[in-house]
Amino acid sequence: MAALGLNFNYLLSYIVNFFLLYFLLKKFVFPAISQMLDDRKKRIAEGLTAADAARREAEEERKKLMAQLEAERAEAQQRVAAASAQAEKVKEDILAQARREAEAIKTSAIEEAEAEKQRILAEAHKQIAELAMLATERVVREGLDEKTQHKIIEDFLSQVSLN
Amino acid sequence: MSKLLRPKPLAFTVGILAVIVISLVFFRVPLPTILLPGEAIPGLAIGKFKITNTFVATIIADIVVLVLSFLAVRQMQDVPESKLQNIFEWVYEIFEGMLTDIGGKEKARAWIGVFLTILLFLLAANWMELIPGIDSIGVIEPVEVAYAEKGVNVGYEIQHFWLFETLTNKQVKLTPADMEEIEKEKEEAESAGEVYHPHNPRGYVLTPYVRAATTDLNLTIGLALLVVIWSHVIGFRRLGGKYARRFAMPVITGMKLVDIFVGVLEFISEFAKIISLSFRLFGNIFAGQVLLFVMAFLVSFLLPLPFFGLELFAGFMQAFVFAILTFIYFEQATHSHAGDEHH
Repeated sequence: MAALGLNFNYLLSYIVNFFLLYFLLKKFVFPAISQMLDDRKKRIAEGLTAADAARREAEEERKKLMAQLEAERAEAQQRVAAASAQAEKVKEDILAQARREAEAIKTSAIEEAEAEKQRILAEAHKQIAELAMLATERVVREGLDEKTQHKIIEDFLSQVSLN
Repeated sequence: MSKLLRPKPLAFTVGILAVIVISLVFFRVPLPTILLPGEAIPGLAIGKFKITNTFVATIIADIVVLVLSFLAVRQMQDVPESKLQNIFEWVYEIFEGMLTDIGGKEKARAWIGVFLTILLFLLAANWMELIPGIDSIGVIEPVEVAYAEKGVNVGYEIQHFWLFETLTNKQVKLTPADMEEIEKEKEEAESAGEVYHPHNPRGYVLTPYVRAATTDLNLTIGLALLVVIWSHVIGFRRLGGKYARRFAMPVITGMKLVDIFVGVLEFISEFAKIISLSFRLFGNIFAGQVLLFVMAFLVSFLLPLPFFGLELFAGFMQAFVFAILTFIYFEQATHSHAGDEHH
């Protein structure tokens, strides 16, 4: 033992020395470090959580705004569609009316023309008949009485007009 | 070969050779006296308690650890400006993580203090062997006194160098006749009630003021004893009477005879722990110190350099191994071997 230098007093002094060192470090140094590390960890975690919340909030806000914008856009579109539909309808109405009026004008014109034609024809009939009567009267002045003459001419003329 | 002949590598090689030759021819250092026990510094004692150079180193290591760690935590900042605080936080976090991996969060928190105290103290103590002046500055005394007290039988001639005295590398070996004479003279001096001091010293030896603390077995055995006993205290406090079952009638294999034998082995292993912890630390650091002595003795410049690197690594490794084993012993002490736990 002596050759190894073992000595109880020294051994004990080293143990006491170590205990003292341990006590001082344990009391003043390690808790400070561990406290610091824990605090910092907590602080960082808090910061991250806050940043996360802020980001989420901003995201929500953005989504809300986007939805609002979308709704407005849809509404505008709807309004434009409605307006254009109305315009289309108005156009249709105007066109239909114009067509109708044109038709009416055309019809009335035709009718008028027809009536005129009929009137002219009737006039022509009468004049032709008179002319014929006059002519025939001259031709057969004495042969036939007026009544028969008329009848013959009338017949003749109706055949002619039927053609 | 042609590469070596280019100017730069050539100059480098020649330079190295020149340094080696110069150190071999002009700067020879003596091989320090290698003694296993810590050496009492002559003329330094508190009462009967002789202060050894390893004890001085222990105190210095304590002071270094305390000063550094108090400086590190003096003004803690959330965003650290001080590198020391950074280093301490870094060390604390790394080893807390490591201990958590081994023993879980609760045990890591409970014992990181012991772990770090051992680690820091042993680092300071181990690395002290690398500092110039330690192991080489000390008290020079006649080899006769050293022989009478410690059995040293090789001294060196002395030379004066400005205000100081240094040992030269010229050895003086005590012959058996010298030894007999010294013993006789010492007996005469003691019977006359005087302190033995040779009139015409044959040679001198140097007792350094400081020698790496972990090269003293008292320290390593003391520390090993402490942590092993501490682990038993932890075991008893956590498991109560069940803790004793690990040595008597543990339930491990279920076969009674085998388990009794295992209990005996456990008991023996507690002593093995003390021996292995203390001698591993002591042996590595002591051997490292001797290695550095011998390398400097062979070639005083350059050659010791790689060994300094090696010892830097060995010093850290031994401190770490001691600390981590301490934690593992503490951790193991909390496992019950009474058979109510599933492994």
